[in-house]
Amino acid sequence: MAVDLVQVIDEWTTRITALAWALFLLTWSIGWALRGAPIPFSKVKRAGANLIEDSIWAAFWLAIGATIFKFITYVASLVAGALG
Amino acid sequence: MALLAIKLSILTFYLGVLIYSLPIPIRSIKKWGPELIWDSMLALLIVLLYSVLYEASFRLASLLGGSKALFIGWYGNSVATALSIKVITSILQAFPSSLVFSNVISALVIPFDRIATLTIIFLTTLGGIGELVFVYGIPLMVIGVVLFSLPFKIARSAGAWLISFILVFTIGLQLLPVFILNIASYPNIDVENQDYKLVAIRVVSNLEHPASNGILILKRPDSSIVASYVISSDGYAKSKYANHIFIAVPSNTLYPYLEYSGVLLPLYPNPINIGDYKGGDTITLKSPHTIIFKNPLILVYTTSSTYNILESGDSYNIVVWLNAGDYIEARVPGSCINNVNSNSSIKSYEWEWRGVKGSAYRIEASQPSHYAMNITVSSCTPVSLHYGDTIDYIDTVIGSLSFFDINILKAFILYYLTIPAIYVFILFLITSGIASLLGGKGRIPIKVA
Repeated sequence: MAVDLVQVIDEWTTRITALAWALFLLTWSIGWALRGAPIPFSKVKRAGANLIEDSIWAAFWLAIGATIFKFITYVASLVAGALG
Repeated sequence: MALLAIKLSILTFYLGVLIYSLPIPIRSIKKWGPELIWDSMLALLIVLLYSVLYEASFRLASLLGGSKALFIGWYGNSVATALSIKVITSILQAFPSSLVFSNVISALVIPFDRIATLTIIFLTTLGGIGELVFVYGIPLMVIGVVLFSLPFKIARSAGAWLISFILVFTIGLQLLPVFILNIASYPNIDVENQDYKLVAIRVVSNLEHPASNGILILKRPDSSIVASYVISSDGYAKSKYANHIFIAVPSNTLYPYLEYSGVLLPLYPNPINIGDYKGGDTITLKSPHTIIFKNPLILVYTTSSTYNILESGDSYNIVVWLNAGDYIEARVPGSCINNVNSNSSIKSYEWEWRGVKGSAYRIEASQPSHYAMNITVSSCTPVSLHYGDTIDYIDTVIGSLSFFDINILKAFILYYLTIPAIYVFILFLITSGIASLLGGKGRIPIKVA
């Protein structure tokens, strides 16, 4: 039962990653569109700038996610070695 | 399960990234993005380290002078002491009021009884927690870690509490005896080392018949009688004061005998060293010469040690090998209808014991051979036995119960209840502290405008 659950979670993770990549592109485009739109409200422009920034962060984390996990595993093994 | 926790933390990470990349410019939703990302990293770290931390807690505890064996030893001793006090107080409470104790003992019996009960309950709870952390520690930590890694901090504080509970109590319980001994001194309740033990003694024949209504006699090496007890219908020697099966016997080497239907039979092991036993133990004494014990007061015994018995209903067919000078004898109370025959000559005579009269049938061997006896006993009317005049060792002991003293009661409460309770309370406080450090304050993370 636990193994099934692990597989389900794995599938979800893969789908969410794919969705995140797609959404990053969408958000980035919407962000630039809002920035460049001829709408005279500064809130809109700020919203656009935030969207752009958030989308770049998302792309950054997506890209280095696996590296981060490897790094954390390495730190954990250092701690285990020090304590064990 | 640990793999589940790892997968959950990775899922949390990508959920955080997903939220980061949503084209929705609402801050209260977007702030979950970085939160989930950081949560997932901490969760992954904990998942990878929980078993290392668990092992390290044992090493830390031993550095500070504690150990699992120390806790289990302290726990075992404490429960044994509390139980011994409970047995003594329940015997004392069963005494008739005609027995005169000193005022101090009478006044303190009930407090000691209550405190012993409370101590047993508290210590058993503590022992249960000990079993939880020492035997089920890792599985519980795994559950805690899985809860900790659920996304959106759903069960984070629960998981954090569980993890810190296991870690804190693993170290804490191992250090409990060290903590107590540094503060209070061991109360001098030398219950185990008094010169008597409270044990249960069961007297049976080789064929496991109980010697009901017999009298157990305990003699010293110089043949003086140190104590005697009437044996109940299930074979246990009973104190004339109490309803339960424990009797007081001195902790030295004793020679046990059984008086049954007027015959004095040695019991084995003979001698028996009571010092080898612990309080609360059950000792079985066997009468190897007895072929049959049967209620009421029916006895068949022999001086030989090899015999064969065939039982059918109320009738017994016994074949025994006797050397010259040996004999086999059957004793039956007069209230029974009996029939005893044999292929050899039977001598019969009368006996009387504890107010019961009966007949005895003896076959004496003139030469080494097999001798057979067939005995049928039926329709016994109940006999009325005169009360055996017995010496209960507890009478000898009562005067020397040195721990019935108010100062020792105070020390007992301090050492076994107050200080451990304070310590456990401290452990729970530390658990909450580490839990909120790991898992946040436990508030539901919804901002109300």
